[in-house]
Amino acid sequence: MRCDDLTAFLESQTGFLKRLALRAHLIRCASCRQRKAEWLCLSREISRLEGESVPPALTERLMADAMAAAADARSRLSSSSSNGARARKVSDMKKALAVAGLAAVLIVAGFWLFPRQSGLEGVVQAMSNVDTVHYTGWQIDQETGERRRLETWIKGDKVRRTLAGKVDMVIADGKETWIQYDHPVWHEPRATIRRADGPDSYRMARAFRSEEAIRVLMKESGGEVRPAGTKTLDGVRVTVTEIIEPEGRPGWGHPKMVVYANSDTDLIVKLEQYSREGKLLYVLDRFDYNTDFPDSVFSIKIPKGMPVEDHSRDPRSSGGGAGGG
Amino acid sequence: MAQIDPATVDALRRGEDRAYAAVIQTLQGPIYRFLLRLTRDASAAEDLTQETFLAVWQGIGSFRGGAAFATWVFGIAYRQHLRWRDKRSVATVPLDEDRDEVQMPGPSLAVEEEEEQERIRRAVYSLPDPYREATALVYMEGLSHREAAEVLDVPVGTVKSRLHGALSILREKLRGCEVDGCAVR
Repeated sequence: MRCDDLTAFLESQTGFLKRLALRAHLIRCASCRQRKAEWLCLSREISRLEGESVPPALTERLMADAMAAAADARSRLSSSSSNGARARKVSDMKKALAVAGLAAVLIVAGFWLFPRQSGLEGVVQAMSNVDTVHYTGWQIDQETGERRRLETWIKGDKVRRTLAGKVDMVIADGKETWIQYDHPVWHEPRATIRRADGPDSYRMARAFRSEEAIRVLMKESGGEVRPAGTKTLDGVRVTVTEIIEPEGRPGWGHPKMVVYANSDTDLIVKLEQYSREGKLLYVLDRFDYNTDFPDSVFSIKIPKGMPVEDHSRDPRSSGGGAGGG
Repeated sequence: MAQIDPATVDALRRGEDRAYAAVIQTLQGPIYRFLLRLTRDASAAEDLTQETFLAVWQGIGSFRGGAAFATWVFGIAYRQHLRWRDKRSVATVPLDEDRDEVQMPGPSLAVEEEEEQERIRRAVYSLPDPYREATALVYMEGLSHREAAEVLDVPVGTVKSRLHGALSILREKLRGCEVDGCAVR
Protein backbone atom coordinates (compact mmCIF):
# COMPACT_ATOMS: atom_id res chain seq x y z
CA MET A 1 0.00 0.00 0.00
CA ARG A 2 1.30 3.43 -0.90
CA CYS A 3 0.94 6.06 1.79
CA ASP A 4 2.25 9.15 0.11
CA ASP A 5 -1.05 10.45 -1.19
CA LEU A 6 -1.79 13.05 1.41
CA THR A 7 -3.79 15.34 -0.78
CA ALA A 8 -7.08 13.52 -0.51
CA PHE A 9 -6.66 13.25 3.23
CA LEU A 10 -5.95 16.94 3.57
CA GLU A 11 -8.80 17.88 1.28
CA SER A 12 -11.17 16.18 3.64
CA GLN A 13 -9.73 17.67 6.77
CA THR A 14 -9.48 21.39 6.38
CA GLY A 15 -10.78 24.52 4.74
CA PHE A 16 -9.11 26.07 1.72
CA LEU A 17 -6.82 28.52 3.48
CA LYS A 18 -5.85 26.06 6.15
CA ARG A 19 -5.20 23.52 3.46
CA LEU A 20 -2.81 25.84 1.68
CA ALA A 21 -1.04 26.64 4.90
CA LEU A 22 -0.85 23.00 5.83
CA ARG A 23 0.58 22.06 2.48
CA ALA A 24 3.22 24.71 2.83
CA HIS A 25 4.05 23.46 6.28
CA LEU A 26 4.22 19.89 5.16
CA ILE A 27 6.74 20.74 2.50
CA ARG A 28 9.05 21.96 5.23
CA CYS A 29 8.25 19.54 8.05
CA ALA A 30 9.20 15.90 7.67
CA SER A 31 7.75 15.00 11.06
CA CYS A 32 4.30 16.24 10.15
CA ARG A 33 4.53 14.53 6.80
CA GLN A 34 5.20 11.32 8.60
CA ARG A 35 2.31 11.83 11.00
CA LYS A 36 -0.12 12.63 8.24
CA ALA A 37 1.03 9.61 6.31
CA GLU A 38 0.32 7.45 9.31
CA TRP A 39 -3.12 8.96 9.72
CA LEU A 40 -3.88 8.31 6.11
CA CYS A 41 -2.70 4.75 6.46
CA LEU A 42 -4.81 4.27 9.54
CA SER A 43 -7.96 5.69 8.06
CA ARG A 44 -7.54 3.47 5.03
CA GLU A 45 -6.87 0.42 7.13
CA ILE A 46 -9.93 1.09 9.26
CA SER A 47 -11.99 1.40 6.09
CA ARG A 48 -10.65 -1.95 4.96
CA LEU A 49 -11.58 -3.80 8.12
CA GLU A 50 -13.78 -6.69 7.17
CA GLY A 51 -17.26 -6.13 8.55
CA GLU A 52 -18.85 -8.46 11.05
CA SER A 53 -21.53 -10.54 9.42
CA VAL A 54 -25.16 -10.28 10.46
CA PRO A 55 -26.33 -13.34 12.43
CA PRO A 56 -28.80 -15.32 10.28
CA ALA A 57 -31.33 -15.39 13.11
CA LEU A 58 -31.31 -11.60 13.18
CA THR A 59 -31.96 -11.45 9.45
CA GLU A 60 -34.94 -13.75 9.96
CA ARG A 61 -36.32 -11.53 12.70
CA LEU A 62 -35.83 -8.42 10.61
CA MET A 63 -37.48 -9.94 7.56
CA ALA A 64 -40.42 -11.17 9.61
CA ASP A 65 -40.90 -7.70 11.07
CA ALA A 66 -40.51 -6.12 7.64
CA MET A 67 -43.13 -8.33 6.04
CA ALA A 68 -45.53 -7.66 8.90
CA ALA A 69 -44.92 -3.93 8.59
CA ALA A 70 -45.41 -4.03 4.82
CA ALA A 71 -48.72 -5.80 5.24
CA ASP A 72 -49.72 -3.30 7.86
CA ALA A 73 -48.83 -0.39 5.57
CA ARG A 74 -51.01 -1.87 2.85
CA SER A 75 -53.78 -2.41 5.31
CA ARG A 76 -53.60 1.18 6.57
CA LEU A 77 -53.56 2.54 3.04
CA SER A 78 -56.64 0.56 2.22
CA SER A 79 -58.32 1.53 5.47
CA SER A 80 -57.53 5.24 5.15
CA SER A 81 -58.84 5.37 1.61
CA SER A 82 -62.22 4.05 2.70
CA ASN A 83 -62.56 6.13 5.83
CA GLY A 84 -60.22 8.80 7.01
CA ALA A 85 -62.01 9.77 10.16
CA ARG A 86 -59.98 10.36 13.24
CA ALA A 87 -59.93 7.25 15.30
CA ARG A 88 -60.70 6.91 18.92
CA LYS A 89 -58.05 6.00 21.38
CA VAL A 90 -57.85 2.30 22.03
CA SER A 91 -55.80 0.19 24.10
CA ASP A 92 -53.55 -0.63 26.82
CA MET A 93 -51.27 -3.57 27.05
CA LYS A 94 -53.95 -5.81 28.42
CA LYS A 95 -56.09 -5.26 25.37
CA ALA A 96 -53.12 -6.08 23.23
CA LEU A 97 -52.67 -9.30 25.09
CA ALA A 98 -56.36 -9.98 24.87
CA VAL A 99 -56.46 -9.88 21.11
CA ALA A 100 -53.30 -11.90 20.80
CA GLY A 101 -54.74 -14.37 23.25
CA LEU A 102 -58.05 -14.40 21.49
CA ALA A 103 -56.40 -15.25 18.22
CA ALA A 104 -54.49 -17.92 20.05
CA VAL A 105 -57.55 -19.54 21.51
CA LEU A 106 -59.33 -19.42 18.20
CA ILE A 107 -56.43 -21.18 16.62
CA VAL A 108 -55.97 -23.68 19.39
CA ALA A 109 -59.61 -24.46 19.74
CA GLY A 110 -59.95 -24.80 15.98
CA PHE A 111 -63.16 -22.78 15.99
CA TRP A 112 -64.95 -25.81 17.35
CA LEU A 113 -67.81 -23.74 18.66
CA PHE A 114 -68.60 -22.07 15.39
CA PRO A 115 -71.76 -23.33 13.78
CA ARG A 116 -71.44 -25.67 10.86
CA GLN A 117 -73.13 -23.28 8.51
CA SER A 118 -70.57 -20.61 9.25
CA GLY A 119 -68.33 -21.31 6.29
CA LEU A 120 -65.43 -21.98 8.62
CA GLU A 121 -65.66 -25.76 8.48
CA GLY A 122 -62.53 -26.06 6.34
CA VAL A 123 -60.63 -23.73 8.63
CA VAL A 124 -61.75 -25.75 11.66
CA GLN A 125 -60.47 -28.92 10.06
CA ALA A 126 -57.17 -27.43 8.87
CA MET A 127 -56.37 -25.68 12.13
CA SER A 128 -57.08 -28.79 14.15
CA ASN A 129 -54.28 -30.55 12.27
CA VAL A 130 -51.68 -27.91 13.07
CA ASP A 131 -48.98 -28.79 15.59
CA THR A 132 -47.36 -25.41 16.08
CA VAL A 133 -48.20 -21.82 15.18
CA HIS A 134 -46.07 -18.73 15.33
CA TYR A 135 -47.66 -15.43 14.41
CA THR A 136 -46.83 -11.77 14.60
CA GLY A 137 -48.80 -8.61 14.16
CA TRP A 138 -49.55 -5.15 15.41
CA GLN A 139 -51.81 -3.33 17.74
CA ILE A 140 -52.50 0.14 16.45
CA ASP A 141 -52.99 3.10 18.74
CA GLN A 142 -55.86 4.95 17.14
CA GLU A 143 -54.77 8.30 18.47
CA THR A 144 -51.09 8.31 17.74
CA GLY A 145 -50.92 5.72 15.00
CA GLU A 146 -48.15 4.04 16.97
CA ARG A 147 -47.96 0.32 16.49
CA ARG A 148 -47.21 -2.15 19.21
CA ARG A 149 -45.85 -5.48 18.20
CA LEU A 150 -47.64 -8.71 19.05
CA GLU A 151 -46.04 -12.10 18.79
CA THR A 152 -47.28 -15.50 19.86
CA TRP A 153 -45.98 -19.04 19.76
CA ILE A 154 -48.33 -21.97 20.28
CA LYS A 155 -47.40 -25.61 20.63
CA GLY A 156 -50.34 -27.93 20.93
CA ASP A 157 -52.96 -26.51 23.26
CA LYS A 158 -50.83 -26.61 26.37
CA VAL A 159 -47.95 -24.31 25.68
CA ARG A 160 -48.32 -20.76 24.57
CA ARG A 161 -46.32 -17.60 24.76
CA THR A 162 -47.46 -14.11 23.89
CA LEU A 163 -45.48 -10.91 23.67
CA ALA A 164 -47.41 -7.69 23.37
CA GLY A 165 -45.32 -4.61 23.75
CA LYS A 166 -43.82 -4.96 27.18
CA VAL A 167 -46.18 -7.64 28.33
CA ASP A 168 -44.79 -11.14 28.24
CA MET A 169 -46.87 -14.18 29.08
CA VAL A 170 -46.26 -17.89 29.04
CA ILE A 171 -48.73 -20.67 29.64
CA ALA A 172 -47.04 -24.02 30.07
CA ASP A 173 -47.65 -27.12 32.14
CA GLY A 174 -50.95 -25.73 33.36
CA LYS A 175 -49.41 -22.59 34.80
CA GLU A 176 -49.25 -19.12 33.49
CA THR A 177 -46.58 -16.55 34.12
CA TRP A 178 -46.89 -13.02 32.99
CA ILE A 179 -45.00 -9.82 33.34
CA GLN A 180 -46.31 -6.36 32.81
CA TYR A 181 -44.00 -3.46 33.64
CA ASP A 182 -43.46 -3.35 37.39
CA HIS A 183 -46.17 -5.76 38.38
CA PRO A 184 -45.22 -8.93 40.20
CA VAL A 185 -44.81 -12.07 38.22
CA TRP A 186 -47.56 -14.53 38.84
CA HIS A 187 -47.36 -18.27 38.75
CA GLU A 188 -50.86 -19.61 38.85
CA PRO A 189 -52.39 -22.96 38.07
CA ARG A 190 -55.28 -22.68 35.69
CA ALA A 191 -57.76 -23.79 38.34
CA THR A 192 -57.14 -20.64 40.35
CA ILE A 193 -57.31 -18.14 37.57
CA ARG A 194 -60.49 -16.66 38.99
CA ARG A 195 -58.50 -15.45 41.94
CA ALA A 196 -56.51 -13.07 39.80
CA ASP A 197 -56.54 -9.46 40.91
CA GLY A 198 -59.41 -7.32 39.73
CA PRO A 199 -61.77 -7.65 36.82
CA ASP A 200 -59.17 -6.76 34.26
CA SER A 201 -56.81 -9.43 35.44
CA TYR A 202 -59.61 -11.92 35.50
CA ARG A 203 -60.63 -10.95 32.03
CA MET A 204 -57.10 -11.29 30.84
CA ALA A 205 -56.56 -14.55 32.57
CA ARG A 206 -59.58 -16.20 31.09
CA ALA A 207 -58.58 -14.95 27.66
CA PHE A 208 -55.96 -17.61 27.84
CA ARG A 209 -58.35 -20.41 28.61
CA SER A 210 -59.60 -21.49 25.25
CA GLU A 211 -62.92 -22.98 26.26
CA GLU A 212 -63.91 -19.97 28.31
CA ALA A 213 -62.66 -17.47 25.79
CA ILE A 214 -64.66 -19.11 23.05
CA ARG A 215 -67.67 -19.13 25.33
CA VAL A 216 -67.27 -15.44 25.99
CA LEU A 217 -66.82 -14.67 22.34
CA MET A 218 -69.55 -16.83 20.93
CA LYS A 219 -72.09 -17.67 23.58
CA GLU A 220 -72.10 -14.72 25.92
CA SER A 221 -71.76 -12.23 23.12
CA GLY A 222 -73.84 -14.16 20.63
CA GLY A 223 -71.24 -13.70 17.92
CA GLU A 224 -72.31 -14.06 14.33
CA VAL A 225 -70.20 -15.51 11.53
CA ARG A 226 -70.57 -14.06 8.03
CA PRO A 227 -68.83 -15.39 4.91
CA ALA A 228 -67.37 -12.42 3.03
CA GLY A 229 -66.20 -13.92 -0.25
CA THR A 230 -62.70 -14.45 -1.56
CA LYS A 231 -59.86 -12.16 -2.51
CA THR A 232 -56.17 -12.23 -3.34
CA LEU A 233 -53.80 -11.40 -0.54
CA ASP A 234 -50.11 -11.11 -1.39
CA GLY A 235 -50.69 -13.32 -4.40
CA VAL A 236 -52.56 -15.96 -2.39
CA ARG A 237 -56.24 -16.67 -2.85
CA VAL A 238 -57.96 -16.37 0.51
CA THR A 239 -61.43 -16.95 1.86
CA VAL A 240 -62.66 -14.07 4.00
CA THR A 241 -64.96 -14.58 6.98
CA GLU A 242 -66.23 -11.94 9.37
CA ILE A 243 -67.09 -12.58 13.01
CA ILE A 244 -69.42 -9.91 14.34
CA GLU A 245 -70.16 -9.18 17.97
CA PRO A 246 -73.68 -7.73 18.23
CA GLU A 247 -74.09 -4.36 19.88
CA GLY A 248 -75.21 -4.16 23.49
CA ARG A 249 -73.93 -7.58 24.44
CA PRO A 250 -71.07 -8.26 26.83
CA GLY A 251 -68.11 -9.40 24.87
CA TRP A 252 -64.55 -8.54 24.04
CA GLY A 253 -65.03 -4.96 23.10
CA HIS A 254 -63.64 -5.68 19.65
CA PRO A 255 -66.79 -5.84 17.61
CA LYS A 256 -65.51 -7.28 14.36
CA MET A 257 -62.87 -9.84 13.53
CA VAL A 258 -61.99 -10.72 9.94
CA VAL A 259 -60.39 -14.08 9.27
CA TYR A 260 -58.47 -14.65 6.06
CA ALA A 261 -57.81 -18.31 5.29
CA ASN A 262 -55.75 -19.70 2.43
CA SER A 263 -58.29 -21.06 -0.05
CA ASP A 264 -56.08 -24.06 -0.83
CA THR A 265 -54.98 -25.06 2.66
CA ASP A 266 -57.72 -23.44 4.78
CA LEU A 267 -55.05 -22.27 7.21
CA ILE A 268 -55.44 -18.78 8.62
CA VAL A 269 -53.05 -16.33 6.98
CA LYS A 270 -54.35 -13.14 8.52
CA LEU A 271 -56.60 -11.91 11.30
CA GLU A 272 -57.88 -8.37 11.65
CA GLN A 273 -59.79 -6.79 14.49
CA TYR A 274 -61.92 -3.71 13.88
CA SER A 275 -63.80 -1.29 16.06
CA ARG A 276 -67.50 -0.84 15.56
CA GLU A 277 -66.64 2.30 13.60
CA GLY A 278 -64.55 0.24 11.23
CA LYS A 279 -61.12 1.28 12.50
CA LEU A 280 -58.39 -1.30 12.34
CA LEU A 281 -57.32 -2.07 15.89
CA TYR A 282 -55.13 -5.12 15.48
CA VAL A 283 -53.70 -7.11 12.66
CA LEU A 284 -51.99 -10.49 12.87
CA ASP A 285 -50.58 -11.07 9.47
CA ARG A 286 -47.68 -13.41 9.52
CA PHE A 287 -48.44 -16.99 10.41
CA ASP A 288 -45.96 -19.83 10.33
CA TYR A 289 -47.23 -23.35 10.88
CA ASN A 290 -45.64 -26.59 11.95
CA THR A 291 -42.18 -25.19 12.57
CA ASP A 292 -40.40 -26.58 15.59
CA PHE A 293 -39.66 -24.09 18.36
CA PRO A 294 -36.91 -24.52 20.91
CA ASP A 295 -38.24 -25.03 24.44
CA SER A 296 -36.50 -21.82 25.42
CA VAL A 297 -39.26 -19.93 23.62
CA PHE A 298 -41.61 -21.01 26.36
CA SER A 299 -39.49 -20.00 29.31
CA ILE A 300 -40.06 -16.51 30.54
CA LYS A 301 -37.15 -14.35 31.59
CA ILE A 302 -37.94 -12.76 34.90
CA PRO A 303 -36.20 -9.43 35.35
CA LYS A 304 -33.71 -9.23 38.17
CA GLY A 305 -35.14 -8.10 41.45
CA MET A 306 -38.76 -8.61 40.42
CA PRO A 307 -40.74 -10.41 43.14
CA VAL A 308 -42.29 -13.71 42.17
CA GLU A 309 -45.56 -14.68 43.83
CA ASP A 310 -46.38 -18.33 43.57
CA HIS A 311 -50.08 -18.85 44.15
CA SER A 312 -50.14 -22.49 43.19
CA ARG A 313 -50.52 -23.63 46.83
CA ASP A 314 -52.45 -20.66 48.15
CA PRO A 315 -55.55 -22.07 49.87
CA ARG A 316 -57.47 -18.90 49.02
CA SER A 317 -56.89 -19.67 45.38
CA SER A 318 -58.05 -23.27 45.36
CA GLY A 319 -61.45 -24.55 44.41
CA GLY A 320 -63.91 -23.16 41.93
CA GLY A 321 -62.41 -23.69 38.52
CA ALA A 322 -62.46 -20.91 36.02
CA GLY A 323 -64.62 -22.80 33.64
CA GLY A 324 -67.82 -22.10 35.45
CA GLY A 325 -68.27 -18.58 34.16
CA MET B 1 -22.43 4.13 1.99
CA ALA B 2 -25.24 1.81 0.99
CA GLN B 3 -28.06 3.84 -0.53
CA ILE B 4 -31.79 3.38 -0.91
CA ASP B 5 -33.25 5.07 -3.97
CA PRO B 6 -36.35 7.28 -3.80
CA ALA B 7 -38.42 4.77 -5.78
CA THR B 8 -37.82 2.18 -3.08
CA VAL B 9 -38.84 4.68 -0.41
CA ASP B 10 -42.09 5.31 -2.30
CA ALA B 11 -42.63 1.57 -2.54
CA LEU B 12 -42.13 1.33 1.23
CA ARG B 13 -44.96 3.77 1.72
CA ARG B 14 -47.16 1.62 -0.47
CA GLY B 15 -46.31 -1.41 1.62
CA GLU B 16 -44.56 -3.36 -1.11
CA ASP B 17 -42.85 -6.43 0.28
CA ARG B 18 -39.92 -6.20 -2.12
CA ALA B 19 -39.09 -2.69 -0.91
CA TYR B 20 -39.05 -3.75 2.71
CA ALA B 21 -36.88 -6.74 1.83
CA ALA B 22 -34.53 -4.52 -0.18
CA VAL B 23 -34.06 -2.13 2.72
CA ILE B 24 -33.28 -5.00 5.07
CA GLN B 25 -30.86 -6.56 2.62
CA THR B 26 -29.08 -3.27 2.00
CA LEU B 27 -28.95 -1.77 5.46
CA GLN B 28 -29.04 -4.60 7.98
CA GLY B 29 -25.27 -5.11 7.76
CA PRO B 30 -24.23 -1.45 8.10
CA ILE B 31 -26.73 -0.79 10.88
CA TYR B 32 -25.87 -3.94 12.81
CA ARG B 33 -22.15 -3.26 12.55
CA PHE B 34 -22.60 0.38 13.52
CA LEU B 35 -24.57 -0.64 16.61
CA LEU B 36 -22.11 -3.40 17.39
CA ARG B 37 -19.30 -0.87 17.39
CA LEU B 38 -21.24 1.49 19.56
CA THR B 39 -22.53 -1.02 22.09
CA ARG B 40 -19.63 -3.49 21.95
CA ASP B 41 -22.27 -6.07 22.83
CA ALA B 42 -23.44 -8.43 20.09
CA SER B 43 -26.73 -9.27 21.79
CA ALA B 44 -27.58 -5.63 22.40
CA ALA B 45 -26.60 -4.76 18.85
CA GLU B 46 -29.02 -7.38 17.53
CA ASP B 47 -31.88 -6.10 19.66
CA LEU B 48 -31.17 -2.49 18.77
CA THR B 49 -30.97 -3.34 15.09
CA GLN B 50 -34.42 -4.88 15.33
CA GLU B 51 -35.72 -1.89 17.26
CA THR B 52 -34.19 0.43 14.69
CA PHE B 53 -35.97 -1.18 11.78
CA LEU B 54 -39.24 -1.35 13.70
CA ALA B 55 -38.89 2.39 14.28
CA VAL B 56 -38.09 2.88 10.60
CA TRP B 57 -41.26 1.06 9.55
CA GLN B 58 -43.30 3.02 12.03
CA GLY B 59 -41.78 6.32 11.02
CA ILE B 60 -41.62 5.91 7.27
CA GLY B 61 -44.52 8.31 6.93
CA SER B 62 -42.49 11.03 8.60
CA PHE B 63 -39.45 10.65 6.34
CA ARG B 64 -39.43 13.76 4.17
CA GLY B 65 -36.35 13.09 2.10
CA GLY B 66 -34.34 15.98 3.51
CA ALA B 67 -31.49 13.58 4.11
CA ALA B 68 -30.58 10.36 2.37
CA PHE B 69 -32.77 7.50 3.55
CA ALA B 70 -29.78 5.55 4.82
CA THR B 71 -28.57 8.56 6.80
CA TRP B 72 -32.01 8.83 8.34
CA VAL B 73 -31.88 5.17 9.35
CA PHE B 74 -28.41 5.60 10.84
CA GLY B 75 -29.80 8.52 12.85
CA ILE B 76 -32.58 6.32 14.22
CA ALA B 77 -30.05 3.64 15.09
CA TYR B 78 -27.89 6.18 16.87
CA ARG B 79 -30.82 7.42 18.94
CA GLN B 80 -31.77 3.85 19.78
CA HIS B 81 -28.25 3.39 21.03
CA LEU B 82 -28.39 6.52 23.13
CA ARG B 83 -31.65 5.36 24.76
CA TRP B 84 -30.17 1.94 25.40
CA ARG B 85 -27.08 3.48 26.91
CA ASP B 86 -29.10 5.77 29.15
CA LYS B 87 -31.38 2.95 30.24
CA ARG B 88 -28.49 0.76 31.16
CA SER B 89 -26.71 3.62 32.86
CA VAL B 90 -23.57 2.71 31.03
CA ALA B 91 -21.12 5.47 31.70
CA THR B 92 -19.63 6.99 28.60
CA VAL B 93 -15.89 7.09 28.43
CA PRO B 94 -14.48 10.57 28.85
CA LEU B 95 -12.42 11.83 25.96
CA ASP B 96 -9.21 11.52 27.91
CA GLU B 97 -9.71 7.87 28.78
CA ASP B 98 -9.83 4.73 26.78
CA ARG B 99 -10.48 1.05 27.13
CA ASP B 100 -8.42 -1.92 26.20
CA GLU B 101 -9.03 -5.60 25.75
CA VAL B 102 -12.51 -5.27 24.34
CA GLN B 103 -13.38 -8.66 22.90
CA MET B 104 -15.61 -8.48 19.88
CA PRO B 105 -16.61 -11.06 17.32
CA GLY B 106 -14.68 -10.74 14.09
CA PRO B 107 -14.82 -12.42 10.71
CA SER B 108 -12.47 -15.24 9.80
CA LEU B 109 -9.44 -14.31 7.71
CA ALA B 110 -5.99 -15.66 7.13
CA VAL B 111 -4.23 -15.74 10.47
CA GLU B 112 -1.72 -12.97 9.83
CA GLU B 113 -4.20 -10.62 8.28
CA GLU B 114 -6.73 -11.51 10.91
CA GLU B 115 -4.27 -10.61 13.65
CA GLU B 116 -3.55 -7.29 12.04
CA GLN B 117 -7.22 -6.50 11.54
CA GLU B 118 -8.01 -7.64 15.03
CA ARG B 119 -5.37 -5.31 16.42
CA ILE B 120 -6.84 -2.36 14.55
CA ARG B 121 -10.40 -3.39 15.34
CA ARG B 122 -9.59 -3.67 19.01
CA ALA B 123 -7.96 -0.29 18.97
CA VAL B 124 -11.03 1.21 17.32
CA TYR B 125 -13.36 -0.46 19.78
CA SER B 126 -11.32 0.96 22.64
CA LEU B 127 -11.79 4.54 21.45
CA PRO B 128 -13.90 6.84 23.62
CA ASP B 129 -17.54 6.93 22.52
CA PRO B 130 -17.56 10.17 20.49
CA TYR B 131 -14.44 9.20 18.59
CA ARG B 132 -15.67 5.66 18.02
CA GLU B 133 -19.03 6.88 16.75
CA ALA B 134 -17.44 9.19 14.18
CA THR B 135 -14.90 6.57 13.15
CA ALA B 136 -17.57 3.91 12.72
CA LEU B 137 -19.70 6.14 10.53
CA VAL B 138 -17.06 7.75 8.34
CA TYR B 139 -14.24 5.28 8.03
CA MET B 140 -16.11 2.03 8.53
CA GLU B 141 -19.50 2.69 6.94
CA GLY B 142 -18.42 5.27 4.41
CA LEU B 143 -20.63 8.19 5.37
CA SER B 144 -19.45 11.65 4.40
CA HIS B 145 -18.58 14.12 7.14
CA ARG B 146 -21.85 15.93 6.50
CA GLU B 147 -23.88 12.73 6.71
CA ALA B 148 -22.12 11.68 9.90
CA ALA B 149 -22.83 15.11 11.35
CA GLU B 150 -26.53 14.65 10.58
CA VAL B 151 -26.58 11.23 12.22
CA LEU B 152 -24.76 12.40 15.34
CA ASP B 153 -26.56 15.75 15.36
CA VAL B 154 -23.34 17.73 15.67
CA PRO B 155 -21.61 20.27 13.39
CA VAL B 156 -19.46 18.96 10.57
CA GLY B 157 -16.41 20.49 12.22
CA THR B 158 -17.06 18.41 15.31
CA VAL B 159 -17.06 15.25 13.25
CA LYS B 160 -13.75 16.25 11.68
CA SER B 161 -12.16 17.04 14.99
CA ARG B 162 -13.38 13.75 16.46
CA LEU B 163 -11.92 11.86 13.54
CA HIS B 164 -8.71 13.77 13.98
CA GLY B 165 -8.70 12.89 17.65
CA ALA B 166 -9.51 9.28 16.90
CA LEU B 167 -6.60 8.96 14.50
CA SER B 168 -4.26 10.55 17.01
CA ILE B 169 -5.28 8.04 19.67
CA LEU B 170 -5.08 5.13 17.25
CA ARG B 171 -1.63 6.24 16.20
CA GLU B 172 -0.51 6.09 19.80
CA LYS B 173 -2.19 2.75 20.41
CA LEU B 174 -0.68 1.18 17.32
CA ARG B 175 2.75 2.73 17.81
CA GLY B 176 5.42 0.30 16.75
CA CYS B 177 2.99 -1.78 14.73
CA GLU B 178 3.37 -2.47 11.06
CA VAL B 179 -0.02 -1.68 9.62
CA ASP B 180 -0.12 -3.23 6.17
CA GLY B 181 3.30 -1.94 5.30
CA CYS B 182 2.84 1.46 6.96
CA ALA B 183 5.04 1.62 10.00
CA VAL B 184 3.45 3.56 12.82
CA ARG B 185 6.26 5.01 14.86
